[in-house]
Amino acid sequence: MAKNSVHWADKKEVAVLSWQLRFTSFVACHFPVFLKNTLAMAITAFYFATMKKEREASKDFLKKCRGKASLLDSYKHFLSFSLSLMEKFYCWSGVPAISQIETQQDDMDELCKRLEDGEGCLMICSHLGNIEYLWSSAALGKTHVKRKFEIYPIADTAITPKQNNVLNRNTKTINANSIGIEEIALLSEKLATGNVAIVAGDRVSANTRNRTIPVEFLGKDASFPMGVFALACALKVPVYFVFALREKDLGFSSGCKMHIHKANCSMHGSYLERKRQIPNLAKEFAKFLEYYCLKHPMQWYNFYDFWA
Amino acid sequence: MSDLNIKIKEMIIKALELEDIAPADIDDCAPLFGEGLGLDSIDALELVIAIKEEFGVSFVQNSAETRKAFASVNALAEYINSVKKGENCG
Repeated sequence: MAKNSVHWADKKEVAVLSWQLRFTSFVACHFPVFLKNTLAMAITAFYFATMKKEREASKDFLKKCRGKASLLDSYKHFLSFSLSLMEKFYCWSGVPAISQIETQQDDMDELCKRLEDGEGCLMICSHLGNIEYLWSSAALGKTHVKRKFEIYPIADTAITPKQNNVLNRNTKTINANSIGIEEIALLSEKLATGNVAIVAGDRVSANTRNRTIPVEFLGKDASFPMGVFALACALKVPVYFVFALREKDLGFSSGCKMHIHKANCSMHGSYLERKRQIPNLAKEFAKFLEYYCLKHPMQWYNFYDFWA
Repeated sequence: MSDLNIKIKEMIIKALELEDIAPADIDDCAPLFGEGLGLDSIDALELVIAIKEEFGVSFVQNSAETRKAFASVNALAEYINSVKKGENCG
């Protein structure tokens, strides 16, 4: 990591005050679309002007995707992020119907069948797009699966409690910063009885920054969190890479496209075979992430130097 | 060496496929991770699940206790014994 750069995990979230979150919530749920968009543009302009480091990170990322990036492109990138925050609230309000999530001809059917048969899995998501569409609909019981299952998100809980509170997320988050033996035992039990764990594969958490896997991503080696992929090895369950992407990058739209890809790396073999698959699984994830980044670079919400 | 210690060592060897190591090669007091047996964090995850399968013991206690239990074979045996004993008492 460069000397002066700050690890994302050490940064404070921008909108953390309760009233800010509550205001956003109100706007997201009750304002008409054109007003949401206008308000998002104005608020974005403020943050865009004040957040230099994030502007640079955006520029660097967009350059890697498209070869060039103007200041306007970065502003659009910021705007897309603002819209995704509003969308979060919209998702957890319980308003969206399952029909607003457009599924594809991918591994969706296979996944549904698996869950219907009472078997669990590990989902690896990312900070590309808005996974809350998927998470909230699963947590609120709106799924294509004719059986109730629980979803266990693994995330940095230093950030999420306040968000959980305001968003009314009814899920119990497992802290990614202190995931240990007890949590593994719990997850192993829950996944064996047909539940789902979900974790982002593109963030290295605060206390695991030394345990990373270097994987080529958009032309340069980046650090991916080893723990996420090691978890799959320990849990011995199939892994699905999931992406929920907004149709319009730059407008509040009430829906998303959901992509589900079952990982080729099998976590069924002997221990040593599974352990050897860990870096391969990370590579496989990075390939999918890259593919969708190139399609929707504006929906990349890691505003820090990902390659640091 | 108690029977439980031997069972634990056999379980470690089997779960982690440590082909060149015999139960007698593992020191009862030596640390399992880092120096000593040289296991890593990925091995730890595997062990937790193996212990649950083999001995029916989970690690739902606070993490300091868990960390203590994983210090050595002796510590693991002690932990498994104490959990079993607790179950028998009611």
